Amino acid sequence: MTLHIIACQVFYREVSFLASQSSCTTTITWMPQGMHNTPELLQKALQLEIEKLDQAYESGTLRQVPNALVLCYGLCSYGVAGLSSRHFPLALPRTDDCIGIFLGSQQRYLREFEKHPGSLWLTNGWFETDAVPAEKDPAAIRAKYAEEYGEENADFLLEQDQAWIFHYHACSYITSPAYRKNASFQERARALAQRNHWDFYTFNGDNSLLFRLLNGEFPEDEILLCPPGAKIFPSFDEKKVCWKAEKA
Amino acid sequence: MDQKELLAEISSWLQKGRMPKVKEMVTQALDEGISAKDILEEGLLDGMSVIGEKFKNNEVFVPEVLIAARAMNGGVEILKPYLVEAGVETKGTVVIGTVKGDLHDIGKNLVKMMMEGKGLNVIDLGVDVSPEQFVATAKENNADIISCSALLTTTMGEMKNVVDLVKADPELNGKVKVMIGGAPVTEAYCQKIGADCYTSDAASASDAALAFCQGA
Repeated sequence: MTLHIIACQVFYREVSFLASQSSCTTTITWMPQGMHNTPELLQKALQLEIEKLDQAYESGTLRQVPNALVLCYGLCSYGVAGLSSRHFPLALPRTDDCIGIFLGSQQRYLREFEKHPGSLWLTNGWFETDAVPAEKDPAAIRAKYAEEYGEENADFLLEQDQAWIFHYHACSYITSPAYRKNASFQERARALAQRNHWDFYTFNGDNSLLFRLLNGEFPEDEILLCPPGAKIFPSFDEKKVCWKAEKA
Repeated sequence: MDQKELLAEISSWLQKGRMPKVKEMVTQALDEGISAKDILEEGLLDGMSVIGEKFKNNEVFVPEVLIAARAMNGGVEILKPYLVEAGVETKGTVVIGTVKGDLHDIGKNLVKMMMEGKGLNVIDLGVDVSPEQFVATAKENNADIISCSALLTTTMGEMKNVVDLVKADPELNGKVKVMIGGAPVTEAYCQKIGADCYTSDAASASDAALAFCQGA
């Protein structure tokens, strides 16, 4: 079986490792981390990658014709809504976001989320690919607000910007089996928790969901398989995503 | 400066998010004998609707809307005693909060400020509000609307629990409207859970809330 993987850079090491061990032949497209903040752009960028593969297939220039396109994403602020391929099934984990994938299952994520609702989840991939929100210096943020919106608004905007930090209770750090050594990221996460007076938890990462995805195993309860020509939609229930046939 | 110019000036300072200036000009307008109702509608709300429109068109972003809403509230605070004196009554009561498990309140705060600007009495339950708290507070205060906000797809499911609890309560069913909003919320979701109203931004939320209260 051949799979083409379209993955968020946050999974760089996990996906690279699992792809190297996969029973499938894999090709891959990496997408920048952090696009969940602009879900419309994420959707367009993902559809563009799918379109490239569809067009390459149509023109006979696709060297490795995949049996499926594997999306290493969750619902991700609806960044996956509306995705469609003319020629390939799309495989997508039924998770809210990458946390469920890093934890190995959506169920585990929901269990932990319920225990610690106000928790900032951090992974090694996040530390490696992007700025961590609560690590930004408040004084620098305030200075930027003062410059753009005036001194009289700076404190108010900073307060609004940082309110979530006061409401949150914890930092939940997920280890990764794909990293040989990740103590420095764990320490950064712990320091962040201390600085914000949060509790600190460490969870063992679990690559089993990613393993199945990258080995072409798509159990219906865990992974959506959207047939060619159909579109992905949010299902607004515990299954997270569904597909619907495109109207003719 | 005649009345029209003065009110246009208030609107303009509000659009720039300059609360101290707005407060100063509102006081000046009152001193010059302009009615509190005119200052509110042709000065403050006029400015806010310009900002609301620009936000919808992606011409301004959340910080601009926040500081404009804050400037509006600064002006409304000064006007309040005059509005009461003039017999302008509260137009309705809204219970607002972020749903259980959701601790992100910028959007909710914005909606609250916009609703207050429209003359609605807003009871803010803050963040992480259970369906039971929404319902109990709505009953205690004889509210017209429960307004729920969520930022995460993980937590938005709680909105259905609020809707179900309201529908199961003979005292509230059909009387209290449930409005929902927040980044992951859509019209399709609103219909799926049977909520009364979804709006995509704070300005539309305050318009819809006012329409509910006046129409009911």
